[in-house]
Formats: sequence, structure tokens, C-alpha cells
Amino acid sequence: MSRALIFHHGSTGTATDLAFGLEKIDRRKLYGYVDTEVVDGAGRACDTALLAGDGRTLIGRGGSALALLDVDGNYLDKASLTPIGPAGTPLSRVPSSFDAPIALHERASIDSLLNHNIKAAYVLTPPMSAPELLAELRGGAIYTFPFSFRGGLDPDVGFLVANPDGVPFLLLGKPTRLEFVSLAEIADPEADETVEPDSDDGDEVDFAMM
Amino acid sequence: MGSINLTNSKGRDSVVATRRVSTALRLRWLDGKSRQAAGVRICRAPLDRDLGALSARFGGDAGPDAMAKLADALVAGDPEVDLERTGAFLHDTVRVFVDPDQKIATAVATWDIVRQPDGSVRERRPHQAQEQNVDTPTPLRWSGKLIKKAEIWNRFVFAAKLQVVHVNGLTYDFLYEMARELELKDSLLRVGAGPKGAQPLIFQRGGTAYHGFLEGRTRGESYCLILHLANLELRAPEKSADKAGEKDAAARSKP
Repeated sequence: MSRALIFHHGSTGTATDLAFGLEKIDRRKLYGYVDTEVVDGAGRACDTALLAGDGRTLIGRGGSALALLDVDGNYLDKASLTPIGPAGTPLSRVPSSFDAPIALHERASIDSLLNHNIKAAYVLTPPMSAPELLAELRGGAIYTFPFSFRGGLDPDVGFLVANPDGVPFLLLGKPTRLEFVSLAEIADPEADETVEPDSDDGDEVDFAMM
Repeated sequence: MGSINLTNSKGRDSVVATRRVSTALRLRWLDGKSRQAAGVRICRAPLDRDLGALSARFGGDAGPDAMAKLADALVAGDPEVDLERTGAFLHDTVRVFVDPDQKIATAVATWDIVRQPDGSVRERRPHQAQEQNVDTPTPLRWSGKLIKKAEIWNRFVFAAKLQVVHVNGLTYDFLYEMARELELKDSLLRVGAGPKGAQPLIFQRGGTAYHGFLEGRTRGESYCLILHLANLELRAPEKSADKAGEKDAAARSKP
């Protein structure tokens, strides 16, 4: 059973803390999934491994690790290091969003939501005392707030929304760098970048077909 | 920079470019002397020294006592450590398949096992990687299926997006007009691949399949044409939907 996520909703004086249960949704749960099985010539199941640069050492799952070294090649304990952002300023760790209620005071527009890549979606189980908040969400309100599941250096942007059926969801996303381009800014199609964003005639989109 | 073959509402097509728009926080770690730390991948244990191999070697047929025997061996002789390889830096590695005997398997067959949401097997078929279908001689059609922004934003999980950009003056006019048309209609256009425009978009061989939705914005002479990509609807699995519905119904019936 996952921990409840608490939202602080309402105007001063009448604000209440609302505890929502949450469950992650993904393609496996909605449409099923495809397992890939690799077998050798005798029909025995094979597993993946890494072949090291020496051409003979095989390393299985969990057999390798990342380590940090200083310029002299000495091992560094990560706890002793300072994280630095792109601007060269030290980054501070944000607490887990489960540690304290999340204040719902900022709303987002549809365009703002569409400017984010949504990396995770959770269906929320509302408490009994949330009809006011649910009514707002069902009316099209989008609340936004910083969100970090376990705490960390790079919080996500959280969106509290309701789908067309009125079921509340928590969406976690990252902002994108969309830019308006003018005639002078001609793209170079030869620039080296592999783009991976990661039959039905009807109007409905069939997601199970994928 | 990728490319995409796109058709406009007049049925004219052109190959244009796509640009990634995702952002990732690029962290650096500094040591006590403000020197940047470098990340390396190291070998913790080769396959012939990991738990499975050592259990077979020291536990053997001991049954329930196998782990105890292995523990004794670990204390007595450090068999898990290979002084030559444990802790070695890993570079120029290659991903391989190994058989149950932990030997490299060279002639392998790959199967896809299609499962239902409950895990039951629906189909078993030879694996076939799908080719990219966004930059082919068959352009992505202007489907004409427009969905108002206000109706679509909470129907799908838009997991990724690409910005479609021009590669010359002609394609600037082509894309600007497309963006303006979509902006005026305040709608997203459903974009699909294949002759009927109904197939999901695949950007590289074996890559993830997405449904595409094109959005246009303009500002003066500049434009922003966004291809939103989704492979998940914003809906609850059956069980969760029931649970949420029950609680909600109870809340509504409460005086």
C-alpha cells in the first residue's frame, strides 16, 4: 500500500488537508504488454550480459556499478560531493512531497500543461471530504506544484487534473524548450541528432494496437 | 535533428526537420577542492563470481543448507573476489546473450509474448522490429481530424513532443501556414502514418510507437509547430476506476 499524498486546499480559514491514495498507471495496466524472449538453438531461454573490453569477461545483471573518481583517479564517496547545476551554482536537495502537505494555490493553463513532457501519471483515490476540490478539477481546473517522489535535486512539475470521466490524476512532467522560429532560423537537417521521443479508419485513437 | 515528411491541408507534402525539446538537468559533482568528479563504470562481479555461479559451486546439492555452505565459503576464502577483474573499469563493452550455462549464445531466436493486462498470454510470435515510418516516400497525411485543445488536454498522457521546423524558405511558408491554421482553429490535428494515416508514428527502427497530435502557435512572423506524442490514455485501470467511483459516490451521498 503506497503512502497517501496530502493536498492542502481551500482559502485561508477554510483550508483543509486532503489525503489521496495514488496508483501509477502505465501501458501494462491498460493494454497489456509484450515480453521479449530470446532462446538459443536448443530452445533454452537466454539472458543478457555485458562482454567487457578484454573480450572474455562476462558481467550479468547487477554485476556493474557507477563510481565517481577525482582527477587523480581516487574513489570519491558521493555523500562528500557538492552537486552543481548548469549555471555553476550549488543545488540543494528538495524534500519528498510525501513529507508535508502540498499547497494548491497555483493554477496552470492548458498551454502550460501541454508545454511539458509527462513522464508519469497516477490515478488518485480521493478522500470523502474532497467534493469541492473534485468539482474544481472536473470544471477544468489544473493545479500545479513542484513534486519529488523521494526527494532529490531535480523535482518534477506536478499537475493535479481530472480526466473527462471526472477521475482525478496526478501528472508528473518536465518542462520543454519550445521556441518560436522565424524565417532566418533555418534548421540544419544534417545536424547529428537521433530523434526518438522517446489500422483503424475510425475517429477513436486505438492505443491497444501499439 | 530528425526529419519528417508532412502533408498540409492542401495535400502538399514536404520533408521538414524535427527538433528535440526535452530538457535534462546536467549535474556536475565537485569534490572538497572544487574539482569536478568523473563517473566511471566498474565491474562489481563477473558472471562466474556472482551469486548464481557461487551457489552452484559451493552450495551444490546441499538443498536448504546451500546458502549456509556458500556463506561459510565466502567467509573462509573470498571466492567472490577476482583480483584481476573485480573493480576493473569497464569500457568498450558489448551487449551479448548468454545461455543457461553462462556461455555466449550466438544463434538466437527472439520471440514476442503478448500478454493481457492480467499477465495471461494472448499470443506468441517471432519478434519483428518495426521500421520508422515518419520519413518515408508516403508522407504523413493531413487527417483533417481536429480535436479542440479544451477537449484533448486531459484525454491523453503526452509523454513526448518534437518541434517541427523549416529547412529552407519554402518550408518556412509551408509550416507557418500550417501553424497559423491550427492556431486559428484552437485545435490539435491527429497525425498518423501509412497510406490511410491511421498507423502510430515510429521514429526509429524498433522504437516506441506513438500517436501524434500537431499543435500550431504563431507570434508575429515566427511560429511554433509542436508534434505532441502520446501512447497512453488518461484513464484509470478498471479496478482503480471502480474504487475511485465507489468512494466518490459515498462522498456525494454523505449529507
